[in-house]
Amino acid sequence: MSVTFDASTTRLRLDADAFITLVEYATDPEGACEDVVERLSDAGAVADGAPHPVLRNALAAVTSSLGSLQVLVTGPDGVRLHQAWVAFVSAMLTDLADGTYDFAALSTEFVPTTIAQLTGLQARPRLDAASAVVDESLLDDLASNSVAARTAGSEALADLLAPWPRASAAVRAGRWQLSVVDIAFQARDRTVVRRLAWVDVDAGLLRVEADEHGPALVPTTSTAVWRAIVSILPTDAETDAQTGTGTDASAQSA
Amino acid sequence: MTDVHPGSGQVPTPRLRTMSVRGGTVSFAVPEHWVAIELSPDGDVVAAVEPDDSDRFRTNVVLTFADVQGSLAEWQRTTQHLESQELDGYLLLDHEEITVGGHVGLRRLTTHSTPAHESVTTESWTTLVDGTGITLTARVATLRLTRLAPVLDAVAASLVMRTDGLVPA
Repeated sequence: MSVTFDASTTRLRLDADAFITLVEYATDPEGACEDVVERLSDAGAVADGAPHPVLRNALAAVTSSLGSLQVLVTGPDGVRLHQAWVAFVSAMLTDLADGTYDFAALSTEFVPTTIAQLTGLQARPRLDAASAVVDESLLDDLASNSVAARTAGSEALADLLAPWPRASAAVRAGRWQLSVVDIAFQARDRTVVRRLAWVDVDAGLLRVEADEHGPALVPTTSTAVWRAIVSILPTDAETDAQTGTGTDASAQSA
Repeated sequence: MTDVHPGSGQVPTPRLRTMSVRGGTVSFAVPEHWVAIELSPDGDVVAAVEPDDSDRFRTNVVLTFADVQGSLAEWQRTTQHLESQELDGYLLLDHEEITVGGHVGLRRLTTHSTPAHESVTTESWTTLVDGTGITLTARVATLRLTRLAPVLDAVAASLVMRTDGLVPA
């Protein structure tokens, strides 16, 4: 695996081992794997016993984050798992689906935009009001790294979407995507965990909502998803204004 | 009246006051503590902005009138193309046909980065009446959207156009 780094653009592309080593190196240079450090050094990502200065903000977000955020995007072609660390300045590790990742600092107020880009959030036709109870195992299949499991999951999803024939047909044609955004952060003396999940089938969007009967798919809109993405982030009140972004305290959707 | 997105929460909305333009043929309501601004002497652009009580992006609503040649869809395609060219980090998140002020219209949701590198979410409601394009645009700092979305929904829902035609500027 390779490491490529351009200090002028701060663009760093690396594999998982190199990323883990870089983070270790930022906190404990002596404990980091020498072979991997050599690869990072060859690329210019570390020099003179420390990570390159332009990487400091991103690494600081990782080593002292207020919360961790994951964006899982899965579809017929594969699974991508992006990772972010929310802090005063956040950081994003973008899964390029080839064993490498882009690592960069990210202004926290642009985290929703980045999630929208990673999930391809866009306008979709409106689906008629209805709901379909969905088994957790189906969602697990859709999110599986196994092609066979995703194929089986998509067939079950197509059956489940029978109330919306165009949506069902889109799934059978391979036009589906499941996006799951998870965030966990410390809010004073407790850990807050929030999840937002939706299925995009080209012919419409369906949000995964849970109640006492379990999860169900409910038609939604990209406007509602955008608002939900914004609302799962920690507010300044929850983090004692440590994000410094002016986020208002407000009702949250889990 | 204008179709709005279904409410996003239980956040109470502030008291509203009505702004009228073009001889009262077009009106909309804004939070009463916002500052009203007439951006053009002929009244073709009117706005209201939240008070300047911090260094954060000030939520604002702008109503514009424009002479339009062609259809609503064509006009909006051109507008969207221009915005995507001119605004940094522009992302079209949603668009739909809805009723705006009692007329066939369009709603769009976008986000972009301001020159000051702020993330802003923009929602606009547009219609075309007798060759006059009317657009109500609301802009809010993205991370404040959860609290302010009900306010923007209320502003949009309040947009009214008299059915007997617009008074010229």
